[in-house]
Amino acid sequence: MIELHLLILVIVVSFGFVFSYLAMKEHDLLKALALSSVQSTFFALGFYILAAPDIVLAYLAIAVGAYTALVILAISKTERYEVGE
Amino acid sequence: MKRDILVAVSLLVAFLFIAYAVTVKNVLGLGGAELRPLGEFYLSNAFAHEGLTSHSPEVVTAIVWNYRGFDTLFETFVFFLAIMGALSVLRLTDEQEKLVRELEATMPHRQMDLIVRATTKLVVIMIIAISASIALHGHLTPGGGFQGGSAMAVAALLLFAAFSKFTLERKGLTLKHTISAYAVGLALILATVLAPVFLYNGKVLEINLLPGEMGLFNLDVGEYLAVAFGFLTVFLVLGIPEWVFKVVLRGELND
Amino acid sequence: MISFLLAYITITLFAMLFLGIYGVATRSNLIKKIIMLNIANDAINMLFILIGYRMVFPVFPPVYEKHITFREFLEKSVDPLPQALVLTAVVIGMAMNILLTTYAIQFYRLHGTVDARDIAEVMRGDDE
Repeated sequence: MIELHLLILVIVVSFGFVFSYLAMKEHDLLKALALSSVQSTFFALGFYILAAPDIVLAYLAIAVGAYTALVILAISKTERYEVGE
Repeated sequence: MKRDILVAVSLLVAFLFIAYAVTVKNVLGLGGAELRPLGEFYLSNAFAHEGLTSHSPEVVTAIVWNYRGFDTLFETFVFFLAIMGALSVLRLTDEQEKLVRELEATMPHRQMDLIVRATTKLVVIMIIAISASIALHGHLTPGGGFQGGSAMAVAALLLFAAFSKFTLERKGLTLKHTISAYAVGLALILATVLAPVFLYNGKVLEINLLPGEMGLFNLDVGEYLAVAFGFLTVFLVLGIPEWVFKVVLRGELND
Repeated sequence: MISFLLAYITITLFAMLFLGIYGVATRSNLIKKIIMLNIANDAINMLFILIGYRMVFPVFPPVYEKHITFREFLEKSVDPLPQALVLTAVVIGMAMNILLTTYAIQFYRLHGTVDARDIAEVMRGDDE
């Protein structure tokens, strides 16, 4: 039955990797931030599966709430688009 | 472009080496069913009735505030230093603060429509209740001061978005008040940490000398206040619109 | 089966870590660098928690409850030490984010750019 937990973790980690790759490729910083918060949400699920309720409570509030708001404020005060090569 | 390829190739080589070491050689010791000795010590001693104990059924909080107390104490101070560093970069003198308030008063007073505001009020009350429950039960159930404080900061952010920063400041949530509340939280932590020295002739941070669960509870409350109002302070300063800051900086240049 | 799944999870986490470092090294926008740094940070945290996980089936979080005996708790609970370390790491990561974003904002106010290639030119201009 432990395989079920590990399978959920496999899904979580795969989606996390895909969304962080998309975040790296994105030139619009707001979209990149949204993609990295999707990755954070998946990781919060992963921490719950790994039996770490303390980390889930801290990580959800930080990574999806406060960190996203902080970077949105930073983007609104600087540039929205990343200049390519 | 050539540099990118160099970076990618060197990282790929490092990745392949680590992947070999982790999967074939199993250097991290993954996949075992037995506990490590140190983990077994913490699990068996956190809630024992005698010996090296912290009287907390929540082992993570017990480790964080009792077995590794100095680490957590200085971590709180690192957080404090980061916020103070941010505030000193975005500093404002008293006259500049007055000027900012005058300039903000001339701005059109925008907030979201009625449905959003009414829903936000309900949700914010719920988030504050949950964050208080997370923080005040932190020594018995999963959670603790830091988790509760950051949940509280999220509630304040919702208020920022739905109402405006101006509304909150008119209700009394100004920079001075948030910094004072932050200082109160830190003072509570310091008082709890130093209490065993003066009351029981113990050492610094021997909070299991305090009666019952008082030590861990006080530290939770202190951290709750400190983290919530620390975040709020940063967001209040960052919430000042950019053109106001430009006017202030131009005034500084002309002086 | 279990070892294959564990190997997949670990390798993907390491790939995410190196993806984050690659992003920090090659992207030129400072805010983008901060986002990629956080992705690397998350991967490391998850890896730490995974080290503390145990392959027993009804696995308990490290919180003692009344309806289970103490021996059963010792047999089924996960290792609490990595969780305590990661809790510290999350707090320090957030402190780092606050400091880095404020510095980036202040740099944009003073020099009008957050692009690493332009920053080199601005710095060279200051020297002369």
